[in-house]
Amino acid sequence: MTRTWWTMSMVAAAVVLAAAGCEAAGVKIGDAGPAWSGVPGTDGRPHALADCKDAKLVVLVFTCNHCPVARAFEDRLIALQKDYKPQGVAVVAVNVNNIPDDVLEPMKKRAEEKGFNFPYLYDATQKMGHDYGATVTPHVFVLDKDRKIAYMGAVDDKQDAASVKTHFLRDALDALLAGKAPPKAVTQQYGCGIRYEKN
Amino acid sequence: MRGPNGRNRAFWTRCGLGVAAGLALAALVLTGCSSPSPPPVEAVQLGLTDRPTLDRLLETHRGRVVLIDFWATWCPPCVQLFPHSVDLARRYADRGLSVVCVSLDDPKDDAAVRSFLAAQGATATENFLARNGSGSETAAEFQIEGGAIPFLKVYDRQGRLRTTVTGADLPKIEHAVLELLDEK
Repeated sequence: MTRTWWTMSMVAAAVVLAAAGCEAAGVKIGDAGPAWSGVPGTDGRPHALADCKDAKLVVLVFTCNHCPVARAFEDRLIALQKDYKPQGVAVVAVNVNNIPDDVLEPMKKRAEEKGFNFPYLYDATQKMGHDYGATVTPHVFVLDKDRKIAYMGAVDDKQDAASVKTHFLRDALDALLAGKAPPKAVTQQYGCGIRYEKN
Repeated sequence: MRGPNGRNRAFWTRCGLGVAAGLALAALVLTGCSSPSPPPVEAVQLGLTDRPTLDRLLETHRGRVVLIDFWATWCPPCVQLFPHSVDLARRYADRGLSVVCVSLDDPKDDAAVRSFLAAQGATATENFLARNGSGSETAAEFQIEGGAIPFLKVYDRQGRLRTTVTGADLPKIEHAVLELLDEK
């Protein structure tokens, strides 16, 4: 158990908190989703929001390598992309942390190990995090067909996948794909604080 | 008998005894200098809590300043902060401070939480596991702003929430506590 605890501590070695004021005010429901472009991915290519032009909905997930909470959701995101891709949903994951575990090379390794079926971007400038007001990993933003913010918050209600009762993100996608408003447009994000650098 | 350098048995015996005595002395000194042994795991109280339970607990502490520390064993800044919360509980109990520590670990991991609390000597704090475990539901339930821990709430003697602190900002936490302890 000690070893497990130690390993988890090391894996999570840089969990810090989203200090108030360190991130921009960010977006709210109905705002235009801030575009991104030229952001490198683990596939070696630059990525842009415009790459998702054929998608009905875009799920932008702020995540990272080191955070145990973020890692707990990786399989759920892979399953979500698999289930919803045929319906025109594009998942895009982005990391904006610059700590050693969270830069591009370890990200490439993680993406390969887990078999990510979505782009995994590295925004070293942290602009995307500031633009959206992301505070933790994971922190989800859904952009509708007009690329306006239609949902923001958590993937679901539990870190432990087996205990999940409410699938916030899936419920939101189902509603939006049916032309309805999400049952809950904003939920409480939860995870490891994003490590914004002070300018 | 001659030793490897031509010395006799008595010399080597004296050397051996000297080394042994030195090691024994070092062990005694180290033992004496180390902190007291942590309490046994059984000595640490750990209950389950949720928002209504925590609210009722706050009611019972009316007249005291209450610091609530939301933390988890997997969160290094929380682990770094935890001894400070234990220290505050010990130092300021007589002045009217109660420290309540709410772990957001999964309730299935209660053994690991108990071990951690025992190692920290956390007998002066009131310790709980969040009944609903780790996740968005619990963060919303306890109104953990920004969704990340460590997150601390400081209540005054009238039970009013006066300060929240995100992150292991030790000076800010202690300042908030002392300010409220000074209020009548």
